[in-house]
Amino acid sequence: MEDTLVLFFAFTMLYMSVASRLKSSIKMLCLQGLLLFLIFNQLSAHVETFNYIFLAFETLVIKMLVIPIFIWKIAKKNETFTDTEPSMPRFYSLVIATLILFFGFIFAAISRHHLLVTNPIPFGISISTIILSLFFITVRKKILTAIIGYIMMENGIFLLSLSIEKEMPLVVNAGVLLDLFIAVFVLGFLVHRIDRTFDKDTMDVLVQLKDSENDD
Amino acid sequence: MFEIITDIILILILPFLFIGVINKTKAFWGGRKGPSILQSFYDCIRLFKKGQVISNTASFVFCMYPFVVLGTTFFAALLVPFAFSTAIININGGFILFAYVLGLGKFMSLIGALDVGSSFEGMGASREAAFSAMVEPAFFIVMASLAAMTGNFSFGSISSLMTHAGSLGYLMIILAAITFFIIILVEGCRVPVDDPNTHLELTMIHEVMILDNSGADLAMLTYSSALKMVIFASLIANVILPDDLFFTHSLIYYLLIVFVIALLVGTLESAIARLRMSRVLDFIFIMSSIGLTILALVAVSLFS
Amino acid sequence: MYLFLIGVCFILLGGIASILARDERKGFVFLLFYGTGAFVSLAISLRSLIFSYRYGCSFEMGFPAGTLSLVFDPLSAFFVTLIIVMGFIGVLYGASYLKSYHNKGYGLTSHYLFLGIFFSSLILLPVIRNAFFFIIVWEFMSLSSFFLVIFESKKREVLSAGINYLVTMHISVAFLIIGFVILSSISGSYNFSSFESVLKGNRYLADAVFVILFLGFGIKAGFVPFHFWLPKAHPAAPSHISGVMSGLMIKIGIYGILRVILMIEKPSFEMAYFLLVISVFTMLYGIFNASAQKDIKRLLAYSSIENIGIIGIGISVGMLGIVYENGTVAVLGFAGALFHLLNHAIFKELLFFCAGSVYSKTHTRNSEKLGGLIKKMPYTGSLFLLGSMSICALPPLNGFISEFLIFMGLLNGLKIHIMNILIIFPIVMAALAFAGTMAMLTFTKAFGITFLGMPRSQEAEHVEGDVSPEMIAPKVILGIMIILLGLLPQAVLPVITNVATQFCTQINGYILSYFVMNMLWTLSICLFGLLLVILFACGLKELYLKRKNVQKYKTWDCGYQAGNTRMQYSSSSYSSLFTDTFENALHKKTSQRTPNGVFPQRGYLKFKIYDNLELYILKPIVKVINNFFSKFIWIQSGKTQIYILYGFLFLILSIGGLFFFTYR
Repeated sequence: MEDTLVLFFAFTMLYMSVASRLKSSIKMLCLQGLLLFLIFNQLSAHVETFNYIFLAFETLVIKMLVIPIFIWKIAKKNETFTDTEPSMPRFYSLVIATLILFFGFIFAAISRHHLLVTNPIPFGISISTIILSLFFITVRKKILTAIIGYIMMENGIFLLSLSIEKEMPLVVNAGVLLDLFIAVFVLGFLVHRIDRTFDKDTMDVLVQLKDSENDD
Repeated sequence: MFEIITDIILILILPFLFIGVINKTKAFWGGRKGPSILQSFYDCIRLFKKGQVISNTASFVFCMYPFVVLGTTFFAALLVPFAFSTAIININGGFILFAYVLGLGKFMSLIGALDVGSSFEGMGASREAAFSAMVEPAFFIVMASLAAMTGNFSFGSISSLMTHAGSLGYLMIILAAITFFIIILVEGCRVPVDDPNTHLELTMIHEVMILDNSGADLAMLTYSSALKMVIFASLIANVILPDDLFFTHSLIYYLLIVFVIALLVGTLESAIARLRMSRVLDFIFIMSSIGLTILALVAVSLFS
Repeated sequence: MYLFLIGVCFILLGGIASILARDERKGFVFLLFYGTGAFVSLAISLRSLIFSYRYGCSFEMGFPAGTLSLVFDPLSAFFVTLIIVMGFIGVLYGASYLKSYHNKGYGLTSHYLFLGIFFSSLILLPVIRNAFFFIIVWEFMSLSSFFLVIFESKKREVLSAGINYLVTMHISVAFLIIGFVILSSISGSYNFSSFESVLKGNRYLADAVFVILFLGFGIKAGFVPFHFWLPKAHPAAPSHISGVMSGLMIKIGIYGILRVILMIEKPSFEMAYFLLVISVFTMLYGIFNASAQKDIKRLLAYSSIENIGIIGIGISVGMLGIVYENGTVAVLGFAGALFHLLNHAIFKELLFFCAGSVYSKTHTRNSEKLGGLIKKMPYTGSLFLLGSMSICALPPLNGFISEFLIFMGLLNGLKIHIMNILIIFPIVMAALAFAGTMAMLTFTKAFGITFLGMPRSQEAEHVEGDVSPEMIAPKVILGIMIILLGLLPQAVLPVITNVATQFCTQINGYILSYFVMNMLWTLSICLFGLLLVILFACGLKELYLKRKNVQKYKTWDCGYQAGNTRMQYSSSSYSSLFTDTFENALHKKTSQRTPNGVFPQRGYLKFKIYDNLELYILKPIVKVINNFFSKFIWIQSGKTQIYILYGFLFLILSIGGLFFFTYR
């Protein structure tokens, strides 16, 4: 059953590569949170109650409700609802996303023999999710989409830690803390109104943070 | 022998009923009563009784192409398993012959559309050529993966998938069914690829290619496009059903699944809007992505 | 065997004898000599092909070359037969095509002379087993083909295309010479049999020699990073030469590659994957560029590149079958490649001849100026339709059979239980299918825009009637061959599987050919069935429409009364939806002037499509070479006295050096 859910997770990443409205990307984030909860339920049969409640709270509440609502609030305030033209035509980004997903699977197939992973499919898909989200951050132009890409990378890391959970149960908790970090970051963005300092909100404005060359 | 006769009866009757169910579903969602289920059958009979108007610019290609389309679609239907798990003509490498026979029909409809010399049909032909270019690789990847999984190179491979596949089998079945369903939407020119009701510039793909056909030609072309949808619907049915069912059970389940697919197509058509033209190519490419996923799942299950 | 050589000499004599005849008689004289020579040689090669005789003879040639042996093995016999038959049809068409060029100072004499040299060298090449003479005869063929290409050298672009072609051919010969020199210096003699014994043991030598010789033969065949001469030379040449070049001369490159594979009896899988990757890329690049062209002959040239890619895929599938010891895959791969070679010669010649007929009537190759030609030239139009349908591999014509064989080779390869094959083969199948649908887009465009619809310009409107029956007859012969080979491939298959099993000597050939024949029998029964169903549907029509009235009216135009013929779809707009999705892959330069203001004004939109690889790879290299060598341009000063000074200096240096080095 978990293979279906992981596959569904992979398809949400594929949908992200074609979507250009911010609202659909945020819906994908909620969907990913729900899927991670279900996957986590399937994969870990024997967990202590405290761990279980912590992870359930984290996936259900933070990933599915808190972070998407924060991002939607920022989007409404900045009135950015669509992503502007990405750096490469959308069709090519779809093709590259397909290829990365495919190689994630092949990696999963190889890893069964050589790396002795218990669950090859979540392992392979999590690697491809991480690479895909890095690809999105590179290609897209808006800062908000970059933040969404970062959150997806974290989801990928969470999935990775779930798939090797039998060996290292502590890594799962560590992955959760990453999420708390991003929640604080987004909250800071929202509360302190950092966005007001920048007029536009594309990634190019971050270039202004660079030190100038002739500094004395 | 009995199975062959049943299959041929299904090939002749099901396309009309399929379109009838789709239209009834659309009417239901639109709060109307809708045309009767046999309406397209009555339409065909009416069209056969009429004469024809042929354009001055047309040549023998235009007069010839509806028959080639009808002949090829009918022959392709003979190659595909319908209600029972084996096709009427079951050869090794059957899906290659199937794909190229349908390609022959498509080629003739493209040049038939260009023959009239009007920019409407030219637009439809150009878009149809571009979209069908994306469908073929996806179909071949899916069939090749299923052939690799089951070791059977004919269409029998899709029915025997469950027995060979093991734990990932049901996943492959679902993904293959989704791929074939998207092919139904593309080949039968349903929303979200094309809107069969209107001939506006936005939605001119398939309906506009047959704009200048009239009379018996139009009836044959409508029947052929409905038959194509039924062919892919039977592929979905054969993927889902196992291949060792008893005769009458097999027929009943098959009809049930085709009915459900018609309901789904009608519901989808009422529920979502047509995609923007540049998005349609992305949508069709997603089929190839799903095909590659099936290939990867085959690789995982064969090498572990 | 001597009979065969006499036949070849007859063809050469035909070229020389046609010098003596008048312009109008030249074609007839050449055809006569070619016919007799071809008949004699064909008898020998057909006997060798069908009954598997190995004819051979050898001549002792003295010091540099050693023994010149001419041997007929199945591969050579196949190529010789193909060249003789297809060449005859080409010359038949050419004799009537050149009728409009008589007595106009076009140099018909030299054309026929070089035609004779070209064909005799082309027929001789597959039987030569000595590297020295192979290069000599290859050079004869290349040079004579250069002269044939620049037949209309009064036009500037024809001359520049010809020179481009000549330089590229010499680069390919350079690679061939390097490869053969390496082999002969290691093995000690120039004979192919001694090459075989050297290559059998040494894997690294085999890989290196394969790559070098592949570069040489690949430039001739037109594989992608080296294809730049093809889209220039084929439109520039007269149509019968384009057809023969595309149908036969490119295949000699494939012959060379096959001969090298035969010399290396067990290829390594790196070689097979290398060929596979290049072939897939060639195929996709070729057809993608073809779908964007509007010049009919340039479109056909790019489509030739695509088909060379398909043949390459077949060869690499066969090689993979040999590597992984699967006889079915090997035989299917090689048989598919060879059959596709034969098929492509037939339908590409047909397409080029039809394009030539269109050009001879309308004097333009630009399909955006044509249209509606099928009503005025019905025979040419329907034969072009037949050719287009078979190049898109549609059943029941012959193109389908060869692609089916390659697909079955790929499918059977899935039984080899190795991860690489499992991933690569379905993707190659998908790429083949994708190229097939792109070919469908390209050829519906080529046929539909040129022949159907309404005429788009004056040139197309003023066509009176079809071309003369002498030009139609060769095309009809080719059309009949297409249909027959499509419905009854079993007739030709024993011969082809014979050649294919020559490659897999470790694997038993008889069982495999039986298996392939079985498959083809079922297939051809199905195709007969398809034809019957279509004809039955046509019969239904005749029954129905006898009593109904059929009315002719103008095309439905949505009530717009002032349309003209330029409002139809043009070929760029037809393919624009598809090519614009991949916009970065094709370099398109647009220039336009849009009308603005209230009243109608003149405006235009111009496209120019560049070959992407040529723009980004070849042009920078040529620019660098130009810049470097332009620094030495002062050496060519033009004054005779300086040149004599150079000669004088060289004489002094050489005599002085001779004295210096010998009196040690």
